[in-house]
Amino acid sequence: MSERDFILELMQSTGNDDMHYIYRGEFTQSLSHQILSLAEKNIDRDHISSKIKKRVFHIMVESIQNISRHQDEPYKPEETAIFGIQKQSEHYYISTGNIIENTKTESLCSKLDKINNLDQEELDAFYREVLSNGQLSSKGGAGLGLIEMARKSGNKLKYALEKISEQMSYFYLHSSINTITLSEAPEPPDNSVYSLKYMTDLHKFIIKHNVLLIYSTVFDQDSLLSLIQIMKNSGDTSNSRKKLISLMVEMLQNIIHHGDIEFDGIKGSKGIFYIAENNGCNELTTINYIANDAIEKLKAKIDYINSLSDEEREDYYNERLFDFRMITTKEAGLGFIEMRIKSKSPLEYFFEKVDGDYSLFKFTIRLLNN
Amino acid sequence: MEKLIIQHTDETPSVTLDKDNGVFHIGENSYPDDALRFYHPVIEWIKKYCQDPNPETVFEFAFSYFNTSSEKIITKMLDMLKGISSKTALTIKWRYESDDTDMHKSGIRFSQLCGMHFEFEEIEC
Repeated sequence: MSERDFILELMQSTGNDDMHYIYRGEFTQSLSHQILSLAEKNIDRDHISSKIKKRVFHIMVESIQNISRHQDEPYKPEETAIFGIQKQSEHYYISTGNIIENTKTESLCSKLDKINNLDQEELDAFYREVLSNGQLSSKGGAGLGLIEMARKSGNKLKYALEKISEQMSYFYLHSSINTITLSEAPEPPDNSVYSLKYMTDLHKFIIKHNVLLIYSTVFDQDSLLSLIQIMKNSGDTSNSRKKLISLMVEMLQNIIHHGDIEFDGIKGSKGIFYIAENNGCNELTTINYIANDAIEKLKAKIDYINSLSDEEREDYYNERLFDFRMITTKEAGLGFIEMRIKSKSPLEYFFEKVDGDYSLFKFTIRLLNN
Repeated sequence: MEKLIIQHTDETPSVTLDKDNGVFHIGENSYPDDALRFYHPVIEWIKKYCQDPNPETVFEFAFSYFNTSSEKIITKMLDMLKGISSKTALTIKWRYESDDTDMHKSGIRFSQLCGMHFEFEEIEC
């Protein structure tokens, strides 16, 4: 699948209240906490029973603990662990990926196959059996986590392995939870963005672009606030972190204010936001729909801002700051200039035609790490 | 004059505007979706205060974050305060977290643009 199709698919299959959140990196205690709190916020917005909420939460905790139990450092980019939570109408999909030694894959797979062959009652019995046998491994697990995930989700645990070297493989685990009833969710078809297959493809995209975090949803102020919370809690309180957050706010509020269109049968500010790290720079990227007839104006605006010298840009900014005639709308007309000044590097954009009316607008800001 | 007190949220700042006790403070986060709507009562309060200010006014800004649409309204507030500098002994205090060079720079920008003297103060974080 080409990158265009890949991104388009993610955009098109995101409905109102749907979301995709994928994190890649080291899974520390505080980070796990912050991921959980994002998901919790999202789950809280849903009108689902507290019993199901607890289940979703429980499965997330087990998944993340599974990763942190099996991660050794330092990892190459293609070995770094990932965690994903996706939501589509009444289903949650939780995916994890981490490396595993090839010598351990066989026993892991047979454990999973065994679990997947048991019904709820048998799972309960198996759980008690493992618990009383108490064969705890040095990493603290006895397969209990996996059994728990199967019990709580009410679904089979899908998995996949990809060999990356003579010693190591990458292991994907995928579980789904129906938020209405505790019953088997219909398997997402293999070409769906909620499938295990898509997650493994997404992982390739993530490695290729060295992506650290992806968040895709119909953006509103609430989803922006959850993202800010994640960024703030990510341990690093340096100045560049603050800058990153300010830039992110401008980018996403741009989408919220201007990307609110009706397309794919959905009305809203649908978009993808991701953070990547390349050549010593943090890269913030947004992708959203734009009407074809609005492209020229936007292009001219960004080109103009990029063409100014530092001094001219300051003047332009100040001029607009004091133009109180422009105070009547949500738009201050300052966003792009601010982004250019703060990032100290040219604003990058790309338009990709989707159909006769709309295009994808990809916008990237590069910020030198300090 | 009635005081205006607004508790902060994740996205909007805390506001204390109290003429009787001489406290004028806006701080923390400001990135509301609609800054104009949030700041409307604040602007209205300041407008009223400007008609009959105290002999001395120490106005304190202590932001952690703001978005560009809030920035625009801060400019507006400063512009209003500047208008009464002949009627009150005006001090603008700009407080920023000690590692936040961007916020410090924003203060310098405002000060230069409005041609007003700011007192800068670092907050330990």
